[in-house]
Amino acid sequence: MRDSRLQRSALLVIAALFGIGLFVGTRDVASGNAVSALPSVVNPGTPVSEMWVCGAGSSSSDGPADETIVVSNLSKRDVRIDVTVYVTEQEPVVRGFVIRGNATERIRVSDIAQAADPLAVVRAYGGPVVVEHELSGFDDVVVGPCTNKLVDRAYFAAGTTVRGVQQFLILANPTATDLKVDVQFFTADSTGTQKMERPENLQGFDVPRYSKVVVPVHNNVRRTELVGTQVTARVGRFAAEQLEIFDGSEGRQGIALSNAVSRTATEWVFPSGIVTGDRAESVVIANPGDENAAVELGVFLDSRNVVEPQELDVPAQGVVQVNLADIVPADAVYAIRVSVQNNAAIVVERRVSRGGNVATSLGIPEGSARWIVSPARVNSSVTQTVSVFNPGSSEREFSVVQRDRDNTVTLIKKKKLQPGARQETIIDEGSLEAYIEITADGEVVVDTMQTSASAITIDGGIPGIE
Amino acid sequence: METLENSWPDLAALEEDRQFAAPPVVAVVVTHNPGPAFDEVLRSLDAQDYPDLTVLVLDAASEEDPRLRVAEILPKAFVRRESTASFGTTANEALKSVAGATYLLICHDDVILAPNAVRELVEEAVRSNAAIAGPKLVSAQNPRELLEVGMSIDRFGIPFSGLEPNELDQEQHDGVRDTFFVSSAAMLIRADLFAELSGFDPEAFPGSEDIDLCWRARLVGARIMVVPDAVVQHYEISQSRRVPDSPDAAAITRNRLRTILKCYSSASLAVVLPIGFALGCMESLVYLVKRQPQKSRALLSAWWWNFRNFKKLKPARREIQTTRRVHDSDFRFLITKGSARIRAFLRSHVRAEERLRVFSTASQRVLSTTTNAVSRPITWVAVSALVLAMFGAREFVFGDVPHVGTLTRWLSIGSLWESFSSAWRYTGMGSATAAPPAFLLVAALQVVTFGYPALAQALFLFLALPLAAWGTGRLARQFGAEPQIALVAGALYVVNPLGRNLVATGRFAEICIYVLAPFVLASVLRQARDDFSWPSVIVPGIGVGVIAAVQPIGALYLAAALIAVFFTARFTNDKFLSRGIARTLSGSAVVALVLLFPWPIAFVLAGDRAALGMNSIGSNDLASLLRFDTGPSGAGWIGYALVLAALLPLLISTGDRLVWAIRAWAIALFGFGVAYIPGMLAPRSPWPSIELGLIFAVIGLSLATAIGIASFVADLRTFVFGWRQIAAAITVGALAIPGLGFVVDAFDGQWRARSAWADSLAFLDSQRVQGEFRVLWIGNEKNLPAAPNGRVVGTNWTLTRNGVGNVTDLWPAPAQRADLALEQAVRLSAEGNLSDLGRTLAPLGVRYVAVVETLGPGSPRSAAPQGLRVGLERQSDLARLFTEPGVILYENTDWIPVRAVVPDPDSRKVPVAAPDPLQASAQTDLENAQPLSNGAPAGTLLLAESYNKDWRASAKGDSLRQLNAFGLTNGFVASPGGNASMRFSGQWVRNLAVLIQLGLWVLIGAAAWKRRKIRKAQG
Repeated sequence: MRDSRLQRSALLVIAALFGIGLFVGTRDVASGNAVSALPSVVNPGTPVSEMWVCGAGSSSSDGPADETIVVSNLSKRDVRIDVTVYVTEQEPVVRGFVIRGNATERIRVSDIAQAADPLAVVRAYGGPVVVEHELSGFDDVVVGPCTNKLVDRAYFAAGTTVRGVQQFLILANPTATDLKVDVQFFTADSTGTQKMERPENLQGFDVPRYSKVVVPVHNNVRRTELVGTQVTARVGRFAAEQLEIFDGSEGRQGIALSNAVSRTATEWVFPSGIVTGDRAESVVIANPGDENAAVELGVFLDSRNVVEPQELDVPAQGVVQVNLADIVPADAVYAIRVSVQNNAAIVVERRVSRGGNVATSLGIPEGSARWIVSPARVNSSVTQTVSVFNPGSSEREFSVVQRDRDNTVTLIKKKKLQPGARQETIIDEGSLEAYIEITADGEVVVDTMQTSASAITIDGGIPGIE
Repeated sequence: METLENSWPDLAALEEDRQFAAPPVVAVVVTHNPGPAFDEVLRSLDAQDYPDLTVLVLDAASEEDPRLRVAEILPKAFVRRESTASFGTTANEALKSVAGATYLLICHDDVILAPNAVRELVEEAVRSNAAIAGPKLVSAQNPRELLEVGMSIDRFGIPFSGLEPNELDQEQHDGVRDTFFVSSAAMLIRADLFAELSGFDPEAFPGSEDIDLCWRARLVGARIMVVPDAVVQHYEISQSRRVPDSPDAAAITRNRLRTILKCYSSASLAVVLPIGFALGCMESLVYLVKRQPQKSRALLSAWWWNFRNFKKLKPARREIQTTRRVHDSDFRFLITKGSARIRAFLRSHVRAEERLRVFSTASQRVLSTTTNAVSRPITWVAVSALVLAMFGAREFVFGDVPHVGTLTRWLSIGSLWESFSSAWRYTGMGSATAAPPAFLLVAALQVVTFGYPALAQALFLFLALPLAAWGTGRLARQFGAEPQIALVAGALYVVNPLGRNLVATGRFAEICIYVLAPFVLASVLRQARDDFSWPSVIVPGIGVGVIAAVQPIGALYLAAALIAVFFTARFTNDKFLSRGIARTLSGSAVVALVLLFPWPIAFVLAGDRAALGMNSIGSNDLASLLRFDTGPSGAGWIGYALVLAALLPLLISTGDRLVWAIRAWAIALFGFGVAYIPGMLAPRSPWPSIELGLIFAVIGLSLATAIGIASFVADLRTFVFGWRQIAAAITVGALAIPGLGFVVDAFDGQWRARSAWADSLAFLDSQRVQGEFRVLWIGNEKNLPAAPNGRVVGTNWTLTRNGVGNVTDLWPAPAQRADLALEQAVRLSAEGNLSDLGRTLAPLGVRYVAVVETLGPGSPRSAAPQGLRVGLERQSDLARLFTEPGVILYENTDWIPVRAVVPDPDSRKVPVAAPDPLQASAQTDLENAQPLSNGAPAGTLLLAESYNKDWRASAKGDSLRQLNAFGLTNGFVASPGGNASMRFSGQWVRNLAVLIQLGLWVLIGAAAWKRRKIRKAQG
């Protein structure tokens, strides 16, 4: 009798313990943060040291685009930066600076070292900074963030190698490891004929440590309307930018700069867009994968009028362009969301042309509650517009503030955004040395556009990672 | 004149006479050169009160014709002379010479029968239906001294009387009983049986003719009895015959062996022969040592002779085996347990009577256990498992030891002593804390290999599993298991894949615990049953201390496992045991602390979890834990059988077995609990390795399963057939598959341990010529070549010096500021908040950063956290080197040697007491720093050891001023150049501590020795 009681008790205890263990053990306790696809982000916390790589640009008259680095100190205390300019077969030149709290400094690379293809690397010690660079040439100025996230893959969607255009792929390797990459292109001509090109000389292609290599894409692929690019590292990490030079021979003149994204995604957002008589916009969708992508392009009009979503089929390893003027009414202001309906993943880039100028910008695949927009404006005559889009399903409140070197904070706007709504803020006040910070109570997407009589540049904001 | 009526016998009386008519008996006296006692023999036969006794004297070729002597005393006796001197051949003449007799009384020519002897023998034979009956033999010289009261043999055919030497007859053995054989000195045998058996086997003489005859009689179903009321005095003159007539020892040995070869069944022979041969070899060796080569040779020649003549033996064996009607097991109870040979050997070689008895009893117990155990198939399986446990580790001895996991290179005794006695711990970033006594334990292991560390390491791995099995067997005995069940428990312990996986993945500390824990648990439980005294807890205390020295958390787990037993003892109302456990455990802990002093103080003061061995993330996958899926060995889902089998005793056991099974389960549940619960509650916090908990789970399950098997064998028959039997059959059968996995793994020879990064990256060892350096290893703790120093971004890190490290890196010192700074630097890199990790780590002497994602080339991958990998790839000053897949190796392009000099004027760049060391390091470019060597330039000396004010430096006879370089390490300013030296000045304190520690060890050792002596004196 006693034995059977003991047996029952023991078996019950064991069964109960294992049962509880198995039940509790099925809970998913793992979680992880997705790696940002964007090439530059503001990390949480205070970095001990941070490296920003500015690949495109030149610092001598031999080069196509004179480079100026714009560094904004996001903290209140001074930050020391070292700008190192690597020049092929020369000792690197290092110049140290101190950026005061919340200040923005502009540094011409040519003041440090002069070279046709310099690699400028900014190392910041003791505080968060954002670094952008301005490139000027061919009567145009473009602005784009430098890279603080070295990648092992890079994608561009909207290149072109038609007559009158030179497309350059800039691969920068600021590390001590020699980089070896494979480059392939997805091209499409005006008839829509798709071709994947993999130039032999760009397979297993070396980028030595502390250097950059400029690949003239137009010399490596056929002359064609659309050129999407994929760069994959076998060893090492790199920063990639794409520079297009329009020589004016075909009516377009100036330069366009794009920073690479590091991965494909299933959803891309452009917070700002407008089609007017002198301004055309198109969206270029590249599908580097092996599966055709069923894509839906949604337009969110400020007027709240509904535009029927466009369904597209983007072939595997192909690239497709959509002219927004065919979709949206004239003079409409809008945001765009491109999403994939099947298991494929894509890269989306926008091309904006106004007059003879062309600007490109990659879409933004992820939202953030904090964005930094650098004051890398050409001059005070430029109109800078910051667009904030709510891609979520609930209302968001956001604010736009300007932070200046004397630690003054100016609230420019504070608004609520309905789901699918956008807001534009024109930064017509403040100094060129003040950077703009957008914060929201949830994820929003931000970009900025600068326009002047002779130039247009689109710059995605730099998200903060929480 | 008699009338007719009177001449007719009374019919009733006639019927009575017929009913009780004495069966005719012929006494067959076999004589050979009879001595003076022969007359007495004849007279005793003449004096028999048995009514129908005829005497037949068979003379075996005596030199002198005995007829006259016989006729003088027994005129009616028959005498026949034979030409052979063989007892058997001569006695067999009775087959031809005697007709009509019911019984034959075979007699030697030196036995004197009591007058009633024949009658008693016949009456008992009739009464008990015995085919053979023997008398009580006493010494003719001293009739009070017993010689034989029935005889037994051991399993190896050696006769055994069961009597003490010179044992006096006090009627203590006077019970009629079955016996294996009776001596041919006086043996009553049924004549028809004698004829059926064709008499004695002539080849069995000398030494085995009676054993052989009786054995064969047994096999045909005959009963053999001893009748103590029939007393026969025996002169044993064969012992004192002239040399040509005295028994030949070699022939006796040979014949006894021949008899067992002839009579045992094949299955029994398979068991008996190997053990018998081993015992024979041992005895032969002992004789050789004692300078008795003839005896030694005789023993071995007996085996050789039988081996050569086995063919000749075959017909006789075939006949016996084909005609046998009885299985060996039916009369196994008549065969004595143990080895009569060892007993005889002790009797003849160990003079002290007391010792003899002790030895005799012990050896009998051991051999009885062994011989009993080997007869059971389940024990054979267990023994096979233990043999396989060694077979599976053979390549460690005959090949190389792969330096996998923490099975890193062992240093020599001298180097280990130096590390132990050094005031500065050169692990991690260094610290001024006491070195672990484990260094001396590793050194002690090398004593048996005469200081060869590699051989000691090989032996350690070779013997790990068998030793663990032994320990578990000892523990099982404390759980009330019989010896053979203890053997099974040991086998189950090593059959479980955990042990093999520990070896395969190179978990040095866990292997030590795996081996030691069962011993220490057994020691504590054994002591818990005795009265408490301080000397009594020394041995368990030493055990606890050794475990704590190897793995501090292991000692805590051990204590907790015992507490689990404590609670179940309370639950089952065994207050005596629970009190004993509490007292012994407390006492042992105190002894352990004293033994380890002052080492534990360092941990108490530091509170460093990593140094305590808490470096693992737990597992929230209970299913894989239950299958012990922790390495390359395992049985997939069949692994659950190991747990299910352990449920068996809870289903079928009763009484004490059930109670002990519950206690075993308490240990198992504790083990599973500590392996699982921490990882479930706080999956990202560092905890002790799950294997450490699983060791106790395996101990508990092995004990429970063994108890279940014992119940299966012993108790199950008491239940009616039902679910218990089915459950038992299923669970025992299910154990076969994990067992098969064990067998397969054994053929690997190294338990699947493969070469690791310590081998592949051995080139790092040669890089020291450019200055001393450190290697920062990052990865899952299982893949690291040293004990982790800490955890960072969900994985572990550790440091080795000047290469892939050695055994001294297995016990991390409590973390210092420099260690924490290093950890923080790695974290910041992974978070993207540090882009110059190389320069940041340069002041710490880190030249290489190795991210290990596998245990070695080709091993399963345990990917490093993505953020860490990306973070390191994004560093501007780490150059990735070409390596095999599974390890990512970077060289720090900004590294500074551990002992370096920063020449002037750059020396002014060295930050002093920086409030933010990482910031200071990242911003300081000391590209001109160079290794400190003779003729070094003037400048600032850097020593990449954690800052400690007791470091000193001098150059050209002058002491240099110390500074806190980077706020982390040691620097010395204004070195004038030339020869400079640096040393740690706190050595005398450590020397004192070592002396105290050694003194404590001597005291405890002396106390243990004294206690041993006292216990010995108490018997």
